[in-house]
Amino acid sequence: MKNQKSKILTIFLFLLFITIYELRFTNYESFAQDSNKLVALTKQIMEAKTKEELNLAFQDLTGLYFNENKYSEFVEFLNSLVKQKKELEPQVNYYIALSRYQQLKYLEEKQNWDEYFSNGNTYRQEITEQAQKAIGSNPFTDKLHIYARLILWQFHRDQQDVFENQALSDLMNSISEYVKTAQDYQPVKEVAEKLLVYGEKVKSKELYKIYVNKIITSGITDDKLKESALGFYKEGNLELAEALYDVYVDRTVKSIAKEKLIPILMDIAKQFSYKDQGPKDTFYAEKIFKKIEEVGTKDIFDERLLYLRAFNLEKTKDYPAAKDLYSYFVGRYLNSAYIDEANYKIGIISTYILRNINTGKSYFEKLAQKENLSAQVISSLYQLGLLSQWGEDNVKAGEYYNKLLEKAGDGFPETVTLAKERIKEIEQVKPIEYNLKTFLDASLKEEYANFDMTKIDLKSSIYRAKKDQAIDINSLPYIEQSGCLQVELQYLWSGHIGTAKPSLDESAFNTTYIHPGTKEINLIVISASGVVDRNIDLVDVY
Amino acid sequence: MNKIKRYRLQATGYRLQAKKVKSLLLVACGLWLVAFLLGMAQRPKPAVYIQKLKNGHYRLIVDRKPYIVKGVCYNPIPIGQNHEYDWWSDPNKPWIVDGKLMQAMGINTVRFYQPGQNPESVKKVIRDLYELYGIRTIIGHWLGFWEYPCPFYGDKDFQDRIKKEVSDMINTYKDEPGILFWVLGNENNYSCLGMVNPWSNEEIDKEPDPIKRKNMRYNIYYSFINELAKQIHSIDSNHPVALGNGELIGLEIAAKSCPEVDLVACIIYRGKTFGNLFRSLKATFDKPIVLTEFGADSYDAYKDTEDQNMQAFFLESQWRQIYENLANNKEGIGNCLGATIFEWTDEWWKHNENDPESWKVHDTDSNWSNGSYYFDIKAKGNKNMNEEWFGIVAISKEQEFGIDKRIPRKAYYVLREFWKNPTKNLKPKTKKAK
Amino acid sequence: MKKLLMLLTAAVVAITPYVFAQEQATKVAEKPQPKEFGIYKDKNARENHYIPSGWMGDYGDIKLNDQSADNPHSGTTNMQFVYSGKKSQGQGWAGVYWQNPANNWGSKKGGFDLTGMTKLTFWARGAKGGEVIQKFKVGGIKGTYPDSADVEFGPIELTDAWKEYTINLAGKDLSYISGGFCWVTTTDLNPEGATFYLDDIKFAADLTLKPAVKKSEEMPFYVFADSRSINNHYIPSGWMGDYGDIKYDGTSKEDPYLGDTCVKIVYTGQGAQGARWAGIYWQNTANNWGTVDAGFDLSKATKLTFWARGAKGGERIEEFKVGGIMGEYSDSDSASIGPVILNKEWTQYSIDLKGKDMSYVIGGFCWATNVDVNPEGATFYLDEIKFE
Repeated sequence: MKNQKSKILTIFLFLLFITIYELRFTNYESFAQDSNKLVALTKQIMEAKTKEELNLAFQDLTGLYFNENKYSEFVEFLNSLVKQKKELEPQVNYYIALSRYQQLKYLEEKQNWDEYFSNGNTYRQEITEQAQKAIGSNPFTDKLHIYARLILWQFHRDQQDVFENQALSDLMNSISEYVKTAQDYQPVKEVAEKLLVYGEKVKSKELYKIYVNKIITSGITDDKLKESALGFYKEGNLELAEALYDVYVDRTVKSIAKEKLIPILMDIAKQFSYKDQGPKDTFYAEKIFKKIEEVGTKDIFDERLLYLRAFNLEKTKDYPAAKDLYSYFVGRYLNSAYIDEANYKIGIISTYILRNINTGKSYFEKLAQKENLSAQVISSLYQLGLLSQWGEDNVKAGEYYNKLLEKAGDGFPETVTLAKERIKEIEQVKPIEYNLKTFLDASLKEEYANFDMTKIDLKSSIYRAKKDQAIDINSLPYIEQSGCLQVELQYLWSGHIGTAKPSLDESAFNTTYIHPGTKEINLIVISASGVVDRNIDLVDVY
Repeated sequence: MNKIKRYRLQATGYRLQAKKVKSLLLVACGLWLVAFLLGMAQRPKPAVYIQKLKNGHYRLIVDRKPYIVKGVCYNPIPIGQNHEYDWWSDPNKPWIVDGKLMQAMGINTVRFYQPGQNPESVKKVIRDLYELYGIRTIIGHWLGFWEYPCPFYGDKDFQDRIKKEVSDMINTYKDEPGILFWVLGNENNYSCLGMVNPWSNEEIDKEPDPIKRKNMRYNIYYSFINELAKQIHSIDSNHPVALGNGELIGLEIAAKSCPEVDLVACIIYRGKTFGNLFRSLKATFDKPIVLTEFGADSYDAYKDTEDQNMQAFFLESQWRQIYENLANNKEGIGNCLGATIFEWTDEWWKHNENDPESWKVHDTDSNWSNGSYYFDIKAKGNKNMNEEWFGIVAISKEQEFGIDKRIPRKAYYVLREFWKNPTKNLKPKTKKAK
Repeated sequence: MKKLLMLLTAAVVAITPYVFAQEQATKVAEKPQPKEFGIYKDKNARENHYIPSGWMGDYGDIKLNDQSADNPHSGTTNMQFVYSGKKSQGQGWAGVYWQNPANNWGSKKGGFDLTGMTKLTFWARGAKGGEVIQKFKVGGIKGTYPDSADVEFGPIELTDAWKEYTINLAGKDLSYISGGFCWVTTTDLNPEGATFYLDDIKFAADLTLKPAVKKSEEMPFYVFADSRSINNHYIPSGWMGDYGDIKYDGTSKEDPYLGDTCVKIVYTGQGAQGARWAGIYWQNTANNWGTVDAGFDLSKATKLTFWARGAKGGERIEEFKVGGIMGEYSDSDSASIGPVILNKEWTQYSIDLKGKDMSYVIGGFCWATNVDVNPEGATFYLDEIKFE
């Protein structure tokens, strides 16, 4: 009897012991839904044997609380954790700083002003104190040290206070120390991304280089390198993709045969060259095109690729280079489907951008003589008429316009409408429509050479549009600021602007085109003291 | 025997001479000391002056004590009136009501862009604010910026006329004990860029390079300010002279053309913080700064509703940065002397100056855009700055004490608390990286 | 020798400023007279003077953009006025005065001395064409500091192309002009409102210009043809007697005799002002009871004819009159018919002017009646009022 009683007592005490032992983990504040997960994570943290386990557990824990925006609860929980196990202090320091940082952002976003005003100062203080503690308690070989410095810099950067610069250079220095010994380069990448978001392009590039070097020196194969780069490209991280591609190209230029390499380079170039949708970097695309030319010759470019390269240069707004390449194109591929478009663009670029009327006219003449009609042939006749009319040779202008009407017949409605307007002006002895005339003067007269298109940006949302597709045309003048004094700007639109009729005060408009062709959109921006600048953009409608 | 006598006599003579010289020197020293002390007594320190500290920081000293400008731009135009209304002569004396509210908040300074037409009324306002509430006054002059068709800064006749107006103003008000300092112009420097109120002269027109034209205008304008400042200093040695400037634009020229000014009075609308304003100013034109126009509006143009919290948020953040950069804060630049918020009360005429009917209405439309005030930047056309909603005190058609009832906004209370303990939350030192 | 040197030096020093002063004086004396005095060349142009600050009448109907880049005549900007014609202040007309200083209605000294200028020229166009400006003016500000001249010009019907207009100022006293320029128009003339542009407004000294000789008006000379007619003259502004009893509609579409509109007058006969009679004078300029020198020379007219009808028939108008205004500037003569019993149908009436001196007529037309002969009041219509 006695033995049984003591057996039962022993079992009961044992069970009690187990329960109390387990209770350690359930003593912490938790919320209803994920309490099980919380308990599990807490256990993981308490029992973690390696730094990696610890970090993973903390990350998951953070996610748990942040998803519910329970920042204050998380801070309380962290404080209670550290009471249980003092060794967790370095981690807790960092995560408290992170929580308060996120919390302030959240309060601002949700405009939770009561809490913001009453606790804002306290939270700000906690961010700096805890971040600094974390910096002190985490060795520079630990990624939390980096993350703590990152939070501190972000905080000062948001406040734009006097500590910002020091915090940034501290961050950069600690990364250079970190990479001397660390294996995990993920923090470097994360910091680089953050720097890019904040506009610190140069520093971001530096870090991406470090990251990329790590990848390279890790013994990665050429193929894996290319795969990595493509992966980053697809993610939209063009900086990293380009950095990796650069390394890849440098390697493979020496190791792979020309015939094999060139198609690969062409692929890369296509990835980055101009397209309406999707990631692009026209400067990088041209860089790769140049490499292809170096490795092979210019002749390597087939019709499509050559045209793509020229189009890419045009969209980069490197007009002299674009013109040269289009000229080369028309010399090589006389029967291309793009021939009219290319000739026309040379004409427009020469005339209106490079101020070389005679060259421009020669290209328009070339097109105007063609028997096979295309939108660019008709547009060339229009341009020739317009330039004559502007040059006050109304007889010649009339001839061109009439030839245009004759050839166009019922087609090419947009250009025909414009031609008819010009003819009316000649017949009624009126000047060219004011907006158009101002654009022509600013673009063609030598004395206005200072209107070099640098003070206004002109963009279209789509450059290869379909008929009837909605297009947004946007302008952005770069003028000096004027505080709260309103600078009244007026926008003189002209050219082939589709169905829209934008008024003087519209800096942007949307339009559609009812007929294919290469459409030029002209803009003059006027301020209180006269013309600010001019710009022209080209949209191709198919 | 005679030789010795002679030598002795000579020696005595020399000794006597020496004695004479000594006494003369003593008398001279005594006289000089008296003159020096008298001179000191006759040259008291100016009532208001700027002190440059050993560490290069600046402080405003008023009546021998350091002074931080905690101010507001003050223009109490009643509902239904426009800027031409002579509130200074209003028998209901809005400044009596406002002064009390300002004092309770902790405001010690008001700013007037230009004094009213009636000097006696203006003096009464300055005196009342100072004697009743201890509030001092900053007075400015537009320098003809808004004249039609443009301010002819390039013409001597125009400059002479403005010089006379300014000297008349100084002579009229300089002996008022409540005066703090003078401000020349507001954002007039923008007119040198050619976008707002542009002006020119024949010489400038002949110059083909637009950048050179701009610099010519800057030189003319800032040299003119320098002359005005000199003129004021010669009339009134008791108050500093400030250069009113939009942002820091043009100050690299002012540094050479305009050394006579004592401080700059800047108009800054950069949202939550002033960025690197103080550091930039120190590097460009090392003078102290008072931000004489800054703040935030209290209308959310995107949600189309009043939002006092949004205004309080921006103002509190801005004041924290102001305090960080006052003198003797080691972590700041130390060239800030304080600021005057734009503005005390809403002005209901501002949205459409030409339509008297609209002056009776609290218009919520906006004419300008500023992305730094990001909460409502998604408003239509990005026009999010609501000109009639910048007051930290709202006004109501309901009358109280004979004027539009004053209703302090959230920012009033938030700043009142902030000023009670402003240094509580200046940043501790950061640990440098090893 | 020393003394001589000192004397010479002193003499040189003494004489130099005097010589320079003389040179300056000559320089000043030689400053040439300006040939032009600008009002508006381009936004912010140095040559601009006067400020378009004096908004009158239905000022809420007016919008001004003084730096419109919409097809300016010269330079990069012009002035765009948008007149909505909505009668925001209930007046039915609006205008803008260019003043110096701004908002000076004659209480401040701000007039320029434009002696030597002989004309004001300006370029104008309408957004669509067909916009009518009732008049353009130079001077005309009254008050403590009145303008020395008051010259009117118009009405003008604008085209959609730029046209230059000239106001002849030769022989006028331009010694003090604070109201440099002005335009006025009405909703009657622009029922849909009007958007128009002005550019290159300036005074000029054209010595070939002779003072405008008051010419005898050509016949027919309309008082009223149609509400929108540019040929209308005189303004039905002189309301007399029980003016509260009168309702005037200058755009009535109720069976006009000719064209789209006629004049409709409702006389209630209630004795609002206690006079028990009422009438309206058509005057030039508005409300001119002989105080403004604005009479037309109608010497070529032999008669005034008009068409009238009563709403019911039987309405009695005591008098229809021409001329008769007495004042500093009196009408040269007067002529009348009446009493007239109106018919329900349109009937033409004629006031014989043969033998009358019609060389100066401010009061172009007038009707008057009373409650005794119209106990129920009278509603009647007028159309095609003209001198011929």
